[in-house]
Amino acid sequence: MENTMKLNPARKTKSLNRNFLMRNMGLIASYTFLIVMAIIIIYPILLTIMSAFNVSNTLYSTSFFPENFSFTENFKSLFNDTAYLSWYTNTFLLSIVTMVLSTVIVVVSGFVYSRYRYASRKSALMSLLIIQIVPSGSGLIALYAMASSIGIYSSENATLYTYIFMTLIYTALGTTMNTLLMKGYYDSIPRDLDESAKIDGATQLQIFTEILLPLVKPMIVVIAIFCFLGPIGDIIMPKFLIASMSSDSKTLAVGLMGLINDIKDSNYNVFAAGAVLAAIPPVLVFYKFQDYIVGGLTSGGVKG
Amino acid sequence: MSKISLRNIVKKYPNAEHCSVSDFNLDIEEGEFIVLVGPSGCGKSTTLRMIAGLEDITSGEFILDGEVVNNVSSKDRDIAMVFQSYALYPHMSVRENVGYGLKLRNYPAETTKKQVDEISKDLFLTQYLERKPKELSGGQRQRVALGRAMVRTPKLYLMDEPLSNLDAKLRTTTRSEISRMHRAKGAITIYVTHDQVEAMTMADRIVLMSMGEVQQIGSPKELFTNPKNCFVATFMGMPSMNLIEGSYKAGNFSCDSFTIAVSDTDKKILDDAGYDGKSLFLGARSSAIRSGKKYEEAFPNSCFETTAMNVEYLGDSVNVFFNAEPNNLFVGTLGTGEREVEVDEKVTLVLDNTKLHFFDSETEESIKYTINQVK
Ligand SMILES: Nc1ncnc2c1ncn2[C@@H]1O[C@H](COP(=O)(O)OP(=O)(O)O)[C@@H](O)[C@H]1O
Ligand SMILES: [Mg+2]
Repeated sequence: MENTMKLNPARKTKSLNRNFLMRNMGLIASYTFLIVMAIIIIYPILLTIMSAFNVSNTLYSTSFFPENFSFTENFKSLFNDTAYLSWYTNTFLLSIVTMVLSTVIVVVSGFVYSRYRYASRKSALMSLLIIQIVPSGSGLIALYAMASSIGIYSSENATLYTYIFMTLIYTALGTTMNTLLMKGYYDSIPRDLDESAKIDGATQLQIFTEILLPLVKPMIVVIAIFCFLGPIGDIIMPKFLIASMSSDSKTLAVGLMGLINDIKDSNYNVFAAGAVLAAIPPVLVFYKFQDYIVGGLTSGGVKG
Repeated sequence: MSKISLRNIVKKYPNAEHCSVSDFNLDIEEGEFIVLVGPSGCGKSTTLRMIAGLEDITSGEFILDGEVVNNVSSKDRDIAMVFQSYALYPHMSVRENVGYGLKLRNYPAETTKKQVDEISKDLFLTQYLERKPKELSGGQRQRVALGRAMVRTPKLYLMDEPLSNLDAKLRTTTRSEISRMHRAKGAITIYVTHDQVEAMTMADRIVLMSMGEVQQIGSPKELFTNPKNCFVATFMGMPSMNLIEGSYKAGNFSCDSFTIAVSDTDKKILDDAGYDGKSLFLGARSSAIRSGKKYEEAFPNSCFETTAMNVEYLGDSVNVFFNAEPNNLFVGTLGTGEREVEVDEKVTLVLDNTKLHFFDSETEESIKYTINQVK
């Protein structure tokens, strides 16, 4: 009796130790998965960065570590030989205006969908979902036809009008899904808060600006970032709409694409340099607001 | 003229089949503490929310200071409300939470600060003023919610189960805190709870509701001693009143388990009301069930022998459960000095027949209600 009592703890510890691998199986598996994913994602990024500092002409001769290392060569030719600066300004102006417009619309429409009940509410929400189903590419011809039928291309300020046109389209694209996201976030804020503020004497506008807006801030940031990134990453629509225009009026994506379009004449290293520069603003934005992004996407407006 | 009148208030939610509140009538005088009590889903919150202006009144009139205010918005009704969830603004500090109502009413900053400081001192919140709600315990949050209401002096305080998220001890202390605040402020308070103990201890008048209908309105004592029907009788009081079905004949009430004589006054009432030879419900609070020589001598005709099924020790007293067909368990509370009962022991119990209630077996209305009311 006494013996077993003495033996038991030791044996137990041993078997627990033996189970160490088994117990941490899940952890090990997740780490392996994460590391593999990280490599898959990081490798191309590194490759791009490396080739931005490599002076050479073909993609095939590019090795991972630069052969003819130069800090500035590719960037110089980017600014001297192409209209990179105007692509850059075009793109970020487009992005910022789109971001501001869509965010304002989404913040208000999400509030309305979440807090008001009116006859067409259900069908309006439904149509937001249905719009998502249609692939955005399928409307391109229609967009082009629309743009030319309202006389954008025949006007003197064709470039400006095209950009305004694109801003409106990106804004519209940015509001559908994001309105649903935003509505969900407003929904996570208990109605009790609105009612409590109402009894405290707040007007509808004060409830919106003083109670709800501060609480949905994380989601506003997330949506602003989404809307900001949308136009930067898009190539199909600008390619369609500004194909015939001068080099100055291109967006980053279209302009950079032009650098590598032609197999014989392409310059992959200059392209890589342009891509690295183009990535800086989004990376900074992500870095600055990473807490908001994680918080906004994972938790509701009111915690504990 | 009453300060507040609710006339034939009806609430039917747009997509609901039945009315959530039907024909609610109540006049409230200056300074009264009214408790709306009833089981969950009986329409208490709905009633309160109509008074607050958070819910439309389907039909009927809500009169405040002689004016019909059905369509006046909440913010112009001059009320303060404590929510069950507290509904503190998560992004504001305690100070901002408490002062928000004053700020919206354009009080000067110093006045706001002074009033917030004062109320916080009253509620022991001074050291938490700069914290956010999520950094507070449940009890502290509850006090902030109270403070937010109490910092103003509105015509009307509304509270919807403000204590239901607190533990039992805190509930008792906060209960008396609210009563004290009410006396200090003197404004009408309408308090919603499902807990009859809160209703009994706090109310000037209780409004007991069930299924959207008012069952009885009266002081705690009235509801306890003269319940209008079976529902009121069993809802008020802990443990709840024993009801047992049986028949009455010539001064005797008999059920499957026992036969007892009713008191002379009760006999007259029952005979006059024409219940001789009819079935009815006998209602007896556990405190009317006693044991011991003293009681056997006092009520020799209402003793019966039974077996204790279970015994609950409560410190000062003991709850004894015993079988009384056709209803399964009957409970008596024996106080100190009475005999100690063991489980499975045979005991002689005495029904104090001066404290009995009788209910019509069909309508479940109290037979003695109107007679007692006149007294
Ligand atoms: N917004 C609503 N829409 C439809 N029915 C409701 C709504 N709110 C409450 N009810 C119904 O009204 C009745 C009373 O609810 P409530 O006043 O919240 O009860 P209590 O506060 O007494 O528990 C319940 O049957 C409930 O289902
Ligand atoms: Mg309720």
